[in-house]
Parts: sequence; C-alpha cells; structure tokens
Amino acid sequence: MVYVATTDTISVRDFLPDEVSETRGSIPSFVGTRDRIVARETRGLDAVEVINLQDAARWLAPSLQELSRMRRLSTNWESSGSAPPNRKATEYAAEVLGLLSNIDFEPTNVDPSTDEGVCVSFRQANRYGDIECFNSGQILAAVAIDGEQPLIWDVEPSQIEGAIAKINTFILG
Amino acid sequence: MYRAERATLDDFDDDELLYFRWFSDWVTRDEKGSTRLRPAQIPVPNQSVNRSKHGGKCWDVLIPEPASDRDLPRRICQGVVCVPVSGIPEPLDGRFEFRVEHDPDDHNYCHCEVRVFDDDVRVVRAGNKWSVSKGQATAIKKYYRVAMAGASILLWPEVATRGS
Repeated sequence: MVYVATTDTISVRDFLPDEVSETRGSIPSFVGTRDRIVARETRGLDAVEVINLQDAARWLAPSLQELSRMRRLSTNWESSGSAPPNRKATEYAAEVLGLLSNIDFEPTNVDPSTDEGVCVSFRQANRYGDIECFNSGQILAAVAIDGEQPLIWDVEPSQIEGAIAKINTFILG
Repeated sequence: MYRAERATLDDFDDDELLYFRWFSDWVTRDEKGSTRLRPAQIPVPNQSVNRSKHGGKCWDVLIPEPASDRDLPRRICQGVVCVPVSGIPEPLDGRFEFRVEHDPDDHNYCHCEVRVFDDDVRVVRAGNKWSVSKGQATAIKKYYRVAMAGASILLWPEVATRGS
C-alpha cells in the first residue's frame, strides 16, 4: 500500500491514493510502500520528494490514509450537499499531521467537515481542540471546554506550528 | 406528528430539549466509554432540530420525511442527540446570535431550526453566497459547531454509520 510523500523537513505535502503506484506517462508519480521510502514526482524528476515513514509517528500513516479516503467522498457525502475535502484542504491537513507527528501529538479524529474541509481534532475529557483546513484555503483553530464558549482563531499557513502548540498546551493542561 | 393547522409557537424555555439525529461514527468515545459528538459533522447554518415541547418525542427525528430519498433505511437507524435550549451557543463576538425558531412542517409539527442573526437580521446563504463575508461565515459556523458539540448529549443507542 502506498502512502504519503513528505519533504525532509517532515512537512507533509501530499498523500497518495491506495494504489501501489500511479504512473503519469512513463514516469512513476508515486513509488514506495507503507513502511519504506515513498517518493513523489510533482513537477518533473527534479521535484521528487522523499521520506521515510519509519521515522514518523505510528499513527501518521493511518491518518494520512484517512485523508486519502476523504478525497474520494462523493458530493453530498453527509446528505446536506457539502463537497468533499479538496486538494488544498487535504494538503494543509497533511501538513498539520506532519507537524503533529514531529511532537507525537496524536489527533483524536481526522474528519471531513460539513463546512467543506478537513478537521483534525483532539479531545481530552471535557477539553476539545481542533485545526480545520477548509477547501477555500482558510484555516481555523479552536479550543473549548464543553459547555463553555469556544475560542476560535484564524491560522495562517506559517502559523500552524504555533496553533498546534497552543492546542497541545490547552488539551494536555 | 402532523401539524394539523396548529400555529407556530416560539415559546422555548431554557430547559426544553432539542433533538437531532446522528451517525454512530460521528462520535468520539473516551477511555471511560462516554461519547462526545465530533463537531466537524454538525450541520450549520439552519440546523434542523425537533423540540420536546408540544408533544415532541426524541424518536420523531428518525421518522422519514414523506417522499424522502434512498437514505431512509439508514436514517431510521441513526442515533439521537439532545441539547437543551440553554446549550445553544452564546453570541459570537457579541454580534452574531444563534436562535432556535419553531419552523413546523406539515408532517412534523415540532420541527425547528437554529438560525444565525446579525443584529436581528437573519444571516442567510443564497447558493454559495453569504450575507456576511466568507471569512465571517466560516468562523460563525465553526464556532457554532464546536459549541453545539460540547453542549450535546447522545441519547439513543446508535446503530447506523455514515459508511453503512
């Protein structure tokens, strides 16, 4: 099973469908296996990115696979007309997961959102936090204690790591 | 429960319960076995709920709508979630207010919607266009989903899943 390509900075940039390999013309776009090196060809052979998932947190690969499945949801997947997560949303979500993997901060759930995007969420007893990457490219983070008013804030792509740190502190107390 | 020409009644008490249906794979279970809703799937705006006042029962939300779609068998096997009226989120930034309004259908007298208002003017979506900025709309919806999930309780033994 093929998984994901990340850069050597462990920032996850893309993920793969379940196929063992996918070819674009004669050039393999994606090669590798779940446990081995995975490579991705993006804009030509000089843009191949290589990672080794063995170095990543154990939960990363299944989470990325879940992202891959979300891309294949049909429109109206939740019966109210929402589009499935698009490439932009899943790329940012993959980046979030990659950064979480760096500190082994495992999300509780990785879900498609009714508001069209991907929600990476955390729960510890009555404490909840998430980072949601929308199809529009917008990223929002939230922390909340059940029954109390949530705190929501905008997150620029360059601020994802800071948002993760804030949520980590909130969730783990 | 048929409407039978009864009036719309916005006479909600804070402790009145509101019900909506839910898939069992849209919950998180903690190590103690308690379940929490996953906010990403809460519909917004105009979340449909059923009220408990005026004879409303929690299972009413599982009754298929007339001339409904192919989801019928799955729908009637969903779980049921309740939230008190007092659990509806406080206004966001003191400006965007969430309000439950009685919106009876001919076949469902207890049907209500939780709607969003900006200075008493309903925030609506026409097609993909919102009456507020897109960024505001996204923030409003996210705030609502997180707050509602935190205030809601799964009532009914859940069976159906999104994937079933």
